[in-house]
Amino acid sequence: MSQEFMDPEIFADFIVEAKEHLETIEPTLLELEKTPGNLNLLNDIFRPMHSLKGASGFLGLAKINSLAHKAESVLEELRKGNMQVTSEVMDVILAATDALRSMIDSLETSGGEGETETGPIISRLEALLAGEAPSEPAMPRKSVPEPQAAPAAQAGAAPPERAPDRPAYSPQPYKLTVLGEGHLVDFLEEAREIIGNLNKSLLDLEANPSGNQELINDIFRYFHNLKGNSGIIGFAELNALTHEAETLLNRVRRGELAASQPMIDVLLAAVDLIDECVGAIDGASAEVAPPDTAPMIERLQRTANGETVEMPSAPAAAPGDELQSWESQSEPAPAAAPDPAALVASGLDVEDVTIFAETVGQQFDNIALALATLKKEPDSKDYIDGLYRSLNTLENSSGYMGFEEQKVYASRTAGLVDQGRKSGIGFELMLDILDQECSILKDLFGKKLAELGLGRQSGAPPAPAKAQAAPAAPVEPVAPSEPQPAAAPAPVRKPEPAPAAKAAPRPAAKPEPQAAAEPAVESRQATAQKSKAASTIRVDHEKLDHLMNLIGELIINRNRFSMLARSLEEGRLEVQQVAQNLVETTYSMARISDDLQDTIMNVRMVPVGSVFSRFPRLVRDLSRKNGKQVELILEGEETELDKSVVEVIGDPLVHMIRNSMDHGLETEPQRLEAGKDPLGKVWLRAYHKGNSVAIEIEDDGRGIDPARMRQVAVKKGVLTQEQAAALDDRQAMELIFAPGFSSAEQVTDISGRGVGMDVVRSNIKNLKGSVAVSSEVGKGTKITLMLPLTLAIIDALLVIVAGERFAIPLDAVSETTKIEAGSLSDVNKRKALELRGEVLGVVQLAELLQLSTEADARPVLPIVVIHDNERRLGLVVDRLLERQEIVIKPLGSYLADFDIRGVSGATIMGDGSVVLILDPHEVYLMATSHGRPGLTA
Amino acid sequence: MAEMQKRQDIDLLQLVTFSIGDEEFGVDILKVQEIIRTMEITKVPRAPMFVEGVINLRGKVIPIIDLRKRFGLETKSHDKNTRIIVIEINNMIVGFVVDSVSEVLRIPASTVEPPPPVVAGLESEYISGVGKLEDRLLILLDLNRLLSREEKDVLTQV
Repeated sequence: MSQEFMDPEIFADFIVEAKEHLETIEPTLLELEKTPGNLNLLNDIFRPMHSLKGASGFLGLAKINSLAHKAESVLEELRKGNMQVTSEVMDVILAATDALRSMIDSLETSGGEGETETGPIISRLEALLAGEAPSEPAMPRKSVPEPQAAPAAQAGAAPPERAPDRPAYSPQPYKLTVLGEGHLVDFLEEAREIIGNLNKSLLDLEANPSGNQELINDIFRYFHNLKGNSGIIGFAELNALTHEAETLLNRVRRGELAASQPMIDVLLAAVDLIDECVGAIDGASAEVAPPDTAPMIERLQRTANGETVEMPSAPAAAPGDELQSWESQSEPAPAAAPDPAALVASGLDVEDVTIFAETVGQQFDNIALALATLKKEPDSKDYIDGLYRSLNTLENSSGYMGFEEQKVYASRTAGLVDQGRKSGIGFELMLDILDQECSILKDLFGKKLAELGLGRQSGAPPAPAKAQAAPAAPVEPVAPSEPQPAAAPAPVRKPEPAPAAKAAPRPAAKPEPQAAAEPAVESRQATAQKSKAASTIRVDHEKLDHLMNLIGELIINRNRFSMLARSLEEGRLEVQQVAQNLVETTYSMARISDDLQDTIMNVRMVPVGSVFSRFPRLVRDLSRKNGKQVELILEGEETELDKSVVEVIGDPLVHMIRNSMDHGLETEPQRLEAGKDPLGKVWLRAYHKGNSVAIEIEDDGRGIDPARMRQVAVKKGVLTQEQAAALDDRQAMELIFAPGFSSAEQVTDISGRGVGMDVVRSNIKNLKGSVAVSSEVGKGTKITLMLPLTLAIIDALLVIVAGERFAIPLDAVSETTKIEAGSLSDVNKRKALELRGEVLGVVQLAELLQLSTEADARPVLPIVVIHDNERRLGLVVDRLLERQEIVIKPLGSYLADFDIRGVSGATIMGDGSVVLILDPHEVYLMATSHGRPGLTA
Repeated sequence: MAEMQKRQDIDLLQLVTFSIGDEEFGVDILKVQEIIRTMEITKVPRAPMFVEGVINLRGKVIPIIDLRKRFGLETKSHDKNTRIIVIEINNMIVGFVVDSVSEVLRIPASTVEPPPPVVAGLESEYISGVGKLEDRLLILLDLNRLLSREEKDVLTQV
């Protein structure tokens, strides 16, 4: 791996040059195939191949060098006329160039030659040189991105009987065959769509397992499509997995098997794994670090053979631990506790060994996480340091145990990391080598643990030859699920025969080693962020055409402007007439820009159904986990929202649905006692309301009891006794949004840690939206999110306050009016006003914003009435200006850190001045919260 | 190559110097995005006292900090010499109002000494060093500290 330490500049030059060479070679080869006698063409191929050989040799790229060398020799023979140009020879040389290309691509993306297998091609080339007719061995699917290989792989991909020689699970990332950049994006998008459909259809099937042929056909088709697509891009693991699922479905379709609950569970777990596979694809480099699919494939096969696969007692929310638990149950867990005999022999303390095993497991998880993260952001110092610390810990603990070999190796690897971070060379160059070092290290430790009788350490190479005993991989995304075996030595954790009780927590489901569970979350988030970066939008062709037309009009209009300017200059036209033309042109400009704005907005709109579709699955899994029967009712999925909003509301909604299911809904006995339907209901609905979209999460559970909220708030120290007593019921309910507040009596692994709603509110606030809660004890709770249709442009009312202009979002303005100062009365130390029979609180906006404290002596006051959900408030301003569409600009991160309340952003006016945008929700809160100035006006 | 460049950078500091009151200050030239004349500043209600407001810098809204107020010096109305130094640091763009901008200086790093506890009435925590020129002293500002979050927390409490 000498190339790791080459001068990056030379390296980059080589890659560019090599690509150029390959680009010359390929078309010339194709031409040569048509005109075999053309010696000039041969020379044209020979030269770049020769340069490639030379340059790669100089850089010490052994694989590329040897392949180029062999190809060159064959070309030499052709040139000399010792060999005839036949299509067979061409096939081999083309295969060689393909392999070269994939190695060079991998050099560019990962800094190493990658996993491309050159052996078979070299032997074919050698066979050619030896004068044999080239045999046509099956191309290794992963390595040769031959265009025809795709359908072939699709058709013959791992049928059950071939399963044993399925390529061994390799944790190394490899490159997918991608035709152009858009190809992979399309694949990812389609795959996600299919996964969504699969989840939905499987749940439908679960609700109605018998007799729905149509549904089974659908599911079959989804798997089939995904299989085809994954075959084309050469994603072997995904292909094999979908193939098995398809086989299973095919048998169901033909009536040879009946859809059953265990089967659906298996299929759902398979879909989870598929999701994970898709998530493992790196959109930027088209590389994939596949998770281990072997256990799931075997499971699918067994199901397809009619066996009832023993399932964990309840489906897990995370595919990772589901897989894990399944493994630990189906396997007869060899020696879960340290083998005393072995230990006695080695003279070690049982406890020490257990701790050692645990530490090792944890550290390897950390290493896996660090490596995976560093792959994405090679310069993340935190992870480099983390990697170093983990390796150091390994060194120390093996030193303590007296395992010399492990200690030396760990210290060597740690030294490497240390060197790397001190010398400041780009870390990405080192990643490959570290990856290898770490997996060797893992093997070493695995072996040691195996010797100690902890044979289930997953990294152990001599692990049972069964397909399930997947060698653990440092880069495997699900790697954090490994600590389970590491922790297994504790006798308590011996796999129990799965208890049938639904609610019983499975041993593996608990995030026992805390440290291990967290990386899992992190890595998941990392992938989520990643996939977000590559987000695309599908646009109706018609809309694009319309945009094109508008641009055309825009250009014509621009020309009209310059024509007018010219005629003014030359004085050819009357000023009057120019003015007239100018007005017309400006109007048409306004029309075009409005139309453009609408169309672009339209393009950005996506139905919320794309987020909603993941919740039936979530609700199902949660309801099986906490033993509550729940029906989720979706409404208004077709409601459209700006894509950027849709992308970020998913997580808040997950929080709230979990809350509803965990805290909101009662258990079945409680519901029966209260005379309710034992089947709990949760509604998730979206609808338009004015210029916003409302999303509601409603349940028919126990509701929020304001009295209890006050108690809890006092108990948790969020409020004092007096403060709590002063809250009205609505305010008491809003305590659920306070940080550190959770009224749940017990913290479950689903919710109740008191961070959820706080985060939800700040997320929604970031979207310029608001959250409100309403609830009735015993009847249920409803949480309403109000979200703006779009983020960038809003309608606003401009007002003048204390001599400054401010914009109030028109959404929140219910009316403007003028009142006589004398009609204000004092109610509870607040100013109030009777407006059409309703009492309306009124505040001086200038005072509220601490802009002036002068008493307002005007006899008539202009008032803007704003509403925050159902509550209304009158704001006294200096003067009302016009309404206007404004573009929202953020105030910047510096000011964001101050607690500047009441202002949500700024906008820039036509004259270039900055006008601040008020946040009606906060203005309302400021006016009503206790002890704030502005109330005593 | 890169290393030599680096060494040179260490040896020679390139600073933009400006004055507030009688003192002359310097900031690293690489942190300075541009220097503009003052323009209409929109006040931000409830912002800390030293935040003058926000301006429109070619379509971007950026906050403006009055360094006089920031250092607790007496305020002075803007005049024809008043400038806003636009600084980009940690992905934050902030403008500082200063009395006037003087010049771009190169000084050897060896002439910079660690700050005494109190310089010209302002505490040394915002100062990364004092540059000794032939005839005067130059106060080097630590912009990171000046804009750091903890600082802001403290300031808002005061």
